[in-house]
Amino acid sequence: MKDSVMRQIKSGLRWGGGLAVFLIALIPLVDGLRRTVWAAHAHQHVEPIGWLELVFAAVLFASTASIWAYYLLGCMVFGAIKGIALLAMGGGGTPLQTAELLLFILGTTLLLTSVVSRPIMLFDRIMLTLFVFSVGWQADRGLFVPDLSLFVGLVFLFASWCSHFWKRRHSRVPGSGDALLWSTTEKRPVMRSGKS
Amino acid sequence: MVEQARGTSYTQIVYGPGGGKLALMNGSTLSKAFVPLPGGGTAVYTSSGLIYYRHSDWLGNGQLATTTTRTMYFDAAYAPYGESYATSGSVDLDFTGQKQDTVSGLYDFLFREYNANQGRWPWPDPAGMGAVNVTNPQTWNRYAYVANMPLNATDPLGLILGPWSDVVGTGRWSIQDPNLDPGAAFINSAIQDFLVQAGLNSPIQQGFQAYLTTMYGTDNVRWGNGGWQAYVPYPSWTSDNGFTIHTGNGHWVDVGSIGGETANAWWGNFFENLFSHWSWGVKAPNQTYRQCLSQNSSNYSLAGALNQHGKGAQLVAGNDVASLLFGNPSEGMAGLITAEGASHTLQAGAGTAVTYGRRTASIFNLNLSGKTGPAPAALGKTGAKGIIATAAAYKFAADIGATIALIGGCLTHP
Repeated sequence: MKDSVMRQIKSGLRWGGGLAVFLIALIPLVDGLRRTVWAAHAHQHVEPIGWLELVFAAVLFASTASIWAYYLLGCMVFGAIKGIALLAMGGGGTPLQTAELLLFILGTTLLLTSVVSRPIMLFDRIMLTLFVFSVGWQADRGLFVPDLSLFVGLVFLFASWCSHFWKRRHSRVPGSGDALLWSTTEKRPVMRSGKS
Repeated sequence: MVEQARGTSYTQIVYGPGGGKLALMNGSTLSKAFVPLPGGGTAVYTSSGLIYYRHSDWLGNGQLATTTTRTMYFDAAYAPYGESYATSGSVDLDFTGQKQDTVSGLYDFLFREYNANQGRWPWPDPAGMGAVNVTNPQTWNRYAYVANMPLNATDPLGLILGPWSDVVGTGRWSIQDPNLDPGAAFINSAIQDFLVQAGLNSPIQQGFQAYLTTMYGTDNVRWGNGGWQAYVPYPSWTSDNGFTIHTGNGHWVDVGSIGGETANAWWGNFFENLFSHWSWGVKAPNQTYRQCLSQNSSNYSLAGALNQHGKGAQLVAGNDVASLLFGNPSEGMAGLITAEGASHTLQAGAGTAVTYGRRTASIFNLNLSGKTGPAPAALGKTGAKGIIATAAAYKFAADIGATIALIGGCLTHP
């Protein structure tokens, strides 16, 4: 088999596997939320084992965040396009609700693009995982319904961006105007001229 | 039909297929007939013809009746538990769609009589201890009417508590809450089991499907989750007495011969939904291949797996490929955008992308970092490049996979 074909198969398996893990991780996430958070919403008995499921889901999400973040971003991109069209054409709820949702989608698209455009560190993985949890937190009342928890999710993504911004500022070599950055192509930190 | 004997007087009560009271007969002579009208109204006939139209409030209480000549026939008001007051005219009381045709002062619910003056059932819920939810003290009293929430709940059968009104006869929705009335959840489950055992292509199922499609509309009824489901356009949540009643943002609920929702179904048990929505053999009886594809196009997606059919879920996590290819064209562009999660405005680009997506090599490596491939082809027109295009390609690939599963699912009957 040609190297290129093997490379393609490996690439496909990597992306497919990442998506599969994401879907699998949703099982303990949804079930864990159902046993804990959503049960509390419905004034029902909270089952502590649900917290264990959430921890398990968090581990799965964090370990594959660098792959499924792209899928999430893809969802947001199409959501943004459709949301803009929806806002322009009307329908499906009040314009204010649509605008809130679109604001969330656009914000997420922007921040997610920032996150995936650089090497995803442990802190980013944790923030991405918390973002998914925030989206699911109130999903018993509807997924992606404009809600405070959604915007808390945005705060996590913003924290990830801030962390990157802070690191970049503090990695500058004093007086040179250069910055120490992580090269995605060379897989290592490199010096980049701040003048360019 | 049920026959009632009082002394030498006999009355036959005729019920419709859904359990609604249709007519009172005396032998072959019509005493009174009730014809449901849109919006919860009722046309009441006697052997002389149409007598009056009854107009109902949100609970189904007959507050006003008018004749064909637009004059008042009767006027009545109801206290929360059904006691009538401020009546005038030829009063024919109708509390939550139920009448007093057997004994004066007792409303004839299908399974129990109700005493509005006492505000309670004269005998307990026949579900026994199964009607009791230990976490809800209001259900501990099995004589209590609608868990003492009479202003926002009805009990169309005398068994099932619903925050909305009766399905049977009136066309309004009923939803049972297992937290409030677990006995009702059990009964509904038993009815569902019976319908499943009757077989998907059995006359009873086909008759029931016709009944449901008449009531809910063709596009709002489907076979899924081991039974018939109807699409419920509930707008929001309601809260009462500390209990939160989910009314959804538009979602599928399991329906038997009564409206209802199985325990926790709306929570979207991922596993359950994944295998009920994404399964081989989703084509319902009498459904064409095209109709199946159209009806399930939004199910085969991340949103469908999570049993989420709200606008936000469809916008972000809907299956854009399936919606573009198989979404209901009658809904038009705006409809596709709002409900199906897709747009004809994207069709030119997406069509190209789907064509690319059929190439095995493209599916395998997606050409994610290159300048060609599904997403760059589709999104190049919008100016989006690089990471955005990569992410869009990934989403497209997932949607294409789900669409292939949808096609497979619609090729076969369950």
